[in-house]
Amino acid sequence: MIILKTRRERLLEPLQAVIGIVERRHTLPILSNVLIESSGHELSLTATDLEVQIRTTAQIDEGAEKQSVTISARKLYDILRSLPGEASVALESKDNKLTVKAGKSRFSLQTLAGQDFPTVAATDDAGIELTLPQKTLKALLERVQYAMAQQDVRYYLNGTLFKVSGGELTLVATDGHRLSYTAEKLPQEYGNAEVILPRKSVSELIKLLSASDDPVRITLRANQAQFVFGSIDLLSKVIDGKFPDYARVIPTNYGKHLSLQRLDLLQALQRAAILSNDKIRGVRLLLSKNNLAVVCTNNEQEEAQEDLDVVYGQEAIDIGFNLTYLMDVLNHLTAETIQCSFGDANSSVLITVPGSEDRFKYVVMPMRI
Amino acid sequence: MMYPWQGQAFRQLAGERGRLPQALLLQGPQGLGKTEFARHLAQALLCESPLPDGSPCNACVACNWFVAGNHPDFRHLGVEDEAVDEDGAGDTSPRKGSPQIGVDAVRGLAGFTTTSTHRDGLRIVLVEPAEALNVHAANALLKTLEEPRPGTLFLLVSHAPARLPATIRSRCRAVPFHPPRTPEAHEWLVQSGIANPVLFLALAGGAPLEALRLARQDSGQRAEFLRRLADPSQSLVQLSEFVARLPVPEWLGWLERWAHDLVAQKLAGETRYHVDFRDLSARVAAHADLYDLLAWERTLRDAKRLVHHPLNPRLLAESLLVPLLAMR
Amino acid sequence: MRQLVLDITPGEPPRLEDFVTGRNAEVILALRQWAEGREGERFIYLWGSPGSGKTHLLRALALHRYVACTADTRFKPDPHPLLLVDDVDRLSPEGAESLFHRFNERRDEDARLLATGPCPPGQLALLPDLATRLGWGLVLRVHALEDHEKITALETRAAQMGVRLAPDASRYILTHWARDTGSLFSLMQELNRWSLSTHRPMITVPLVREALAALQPQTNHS
Repeated sequence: MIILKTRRERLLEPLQAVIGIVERRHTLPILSNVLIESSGHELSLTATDLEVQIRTTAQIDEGAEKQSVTISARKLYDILRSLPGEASVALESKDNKLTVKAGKSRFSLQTLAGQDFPTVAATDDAGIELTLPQKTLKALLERVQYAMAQQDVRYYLNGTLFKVSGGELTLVATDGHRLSYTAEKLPQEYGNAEVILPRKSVSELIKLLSASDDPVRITLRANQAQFVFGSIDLLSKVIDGKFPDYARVIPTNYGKHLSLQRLDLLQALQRAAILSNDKIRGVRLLLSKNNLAVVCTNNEQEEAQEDLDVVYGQEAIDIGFNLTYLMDVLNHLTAETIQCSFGDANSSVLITVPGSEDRFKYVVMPMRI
Repeated sequence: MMYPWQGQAFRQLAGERGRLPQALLLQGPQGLGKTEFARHLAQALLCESPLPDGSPCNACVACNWFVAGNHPDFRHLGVEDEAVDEDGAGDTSPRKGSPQIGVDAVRGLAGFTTTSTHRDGLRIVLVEPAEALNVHAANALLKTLEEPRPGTLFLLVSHAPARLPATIRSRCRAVPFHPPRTPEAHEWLVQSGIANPVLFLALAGGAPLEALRLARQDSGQRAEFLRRLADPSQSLVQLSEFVARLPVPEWLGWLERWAHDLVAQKLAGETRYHVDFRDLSARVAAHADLYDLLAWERTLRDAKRLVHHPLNPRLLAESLLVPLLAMR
Repeated sequence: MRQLVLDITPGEPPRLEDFVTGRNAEVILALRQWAEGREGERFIYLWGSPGSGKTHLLRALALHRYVACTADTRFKPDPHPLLLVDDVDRLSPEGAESLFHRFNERRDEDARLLATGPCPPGQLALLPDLATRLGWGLVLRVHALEDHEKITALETRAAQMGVRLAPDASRYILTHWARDTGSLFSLMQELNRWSLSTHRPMITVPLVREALAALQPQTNHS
């Protein structure tokens, strides 16, 4: 029986949106598959890695009424990509096999029943719902995501905190060495909600959100977060756990401040990094009257020094950092000027953007030299 | 699926739905269907419209997923538990097949136990057999059991709970499994198509599934083996040659039971396992020395540890058979 | 160069439940009852060697009325009915006198006081009147932990910090570091930081060895 018939890219495009979360190895074999559901001209594709589920819809030329089947996402993807651009594709199912036909090519694939696919349904909990322009959410996520932990035993760090409190949305990520914080004023009051969104969901969102003003509808529930935008419906599980009290590590009373051109510092770091120790990736910042020296040394006793002219008249500072932690924040900001605030050589440094101090904060711990 | 003799245990645990502790240790001899019971219980607890007696409905989405092996809130850690590779390449590590549950399998649960559940219900982990957890895996599991997360249930199945670390046992509620009453087991074996349930149930020490396995595998080799053992014309070389063609666990099991039967004959005039050779065991026991028998029994028990990797099966057979020949 | 870590780990106050009881079952029972007002005696004096866990017990009872004595500590009149005074032996003569006054003022009210020191009240080199007063109520000894209890304590602490402690690592720590629980726990804190800063999820013997090597020169410094 024919499941659907359509032009290649009408199937390929939605498949591209979901393929990112299909992993090669799984505890449950069916998760290598994509769920294909057709209903007349409406096609929907669903994939999940159990942590995040992405469902996307598309219009097709011809489809069977209420049919569902699952087949290997990766194989279908490779087949579609290998077909010529304007090809017309038909999917036919027969006896646990699915045949992909295009021109003179035919591929016969194993299938698993559609009802066996473990889809997540939105829970009854109404939660808190808010709508933002896609580009805003994308920018917020990009501003904090690099500070998330990776496979940390403190599992609550392997994600990004999404917190709605009154009229403000706050996102926080930390791996225990640095912390990124961003806040956005919302157009109205929404009450309070707090979830930790897993790492995978954050990176998928960044990938799938567009830099447009089109809306994304966000629903935060006790056990789930949902993002609906364009033709995509992304349902994410949340990390069960309490996010650390981030406010206590954001310094509020530092007296030494330095304004810098973001790109000047970034380029100085990139050049100095050539002679940094590959393993430790340390960089030393020596701040003295109107001068910032960026110094890297490696195991072969080689040294790179970059001097930057700055306006600074306070106490001299000699402090070390992991290069990556500094470059991460500089790469993900867009502002021209940034401000660094210092305590002593063993305290964190606070990086903000002049004029939007309340909207973005990055706290990074130094390395002991 | 659940076996007829497990009804009461099931009703009791299913009746505690919502109040179960974080970990149950299902323990008892092999061949009683503990793993099947654990799966049945897991399905029942995940079922979204359970029957009045607590059984799974076998009709809801959760039941369908469970039966198809796809329920996202259920994980099975077993010795053959390997993640499936899409290309069917499988795991090529040399450790494959070693009867262990490694630390990676336990650590792999991290994402499962720390994110919210799929269906807003319980998340269940079946560990089977729990004694296959190696030291590191057991420690990793212990960490999870020490910091229980609400909504998580561990079902540990063990045929040898004494081999589990005490720290793990102390964090589980033990659910003991006993062989069913004989008539019940007989009836089930007859229904399963076994003509001679008495013999095989005896050989299996009362464990019905083990009896079924023995009955289905029986090719007359056991009877042949015992006949040869008692036949004075069989030399050690002939016996060892016969035995060397059989799988070690198989003949070692027969031999162990034979030794037990001889001791039991000597002490109480009873035959427990090889009931079809009752007369023979009585005759052999009659002119064997009890202390020799006990010593031989102990030797066999020690040899059992080598059962998975004897260096030379024939040598092993010879060394274990010598004392018996002296007795006959 | 060594990465320093952000202080995001929750600074939970110690709890009575987390105290590894050892031979101190009686002490814990008395403190529980005292904290709930069910103990007949209003004054308790705990003594035991440094590191036996007195501070943990006191802080577990009520953080806000906890005073860790130093030579500068002075006690002022205070209407609150509960007072927890740690390490009375560190008080200066003036401090001891202020506690003595506070004590007298407490006696007539429905107030409760819990104090600790390193030895029984009679042996305290303190204002004799204060020492006598401290001996009026219940005097209990806190026993230091045995080695196997220390291992349990280390493992409990590690679990609270959310880090795994390899079994042989706890033995290694006991044979390579000061053995009082205070030092052991602060070492645990350091090891936790070390495992975070090197992104290793488990505290193993090599990690302990590495951390100790890095810690020792540092301790010499200060």
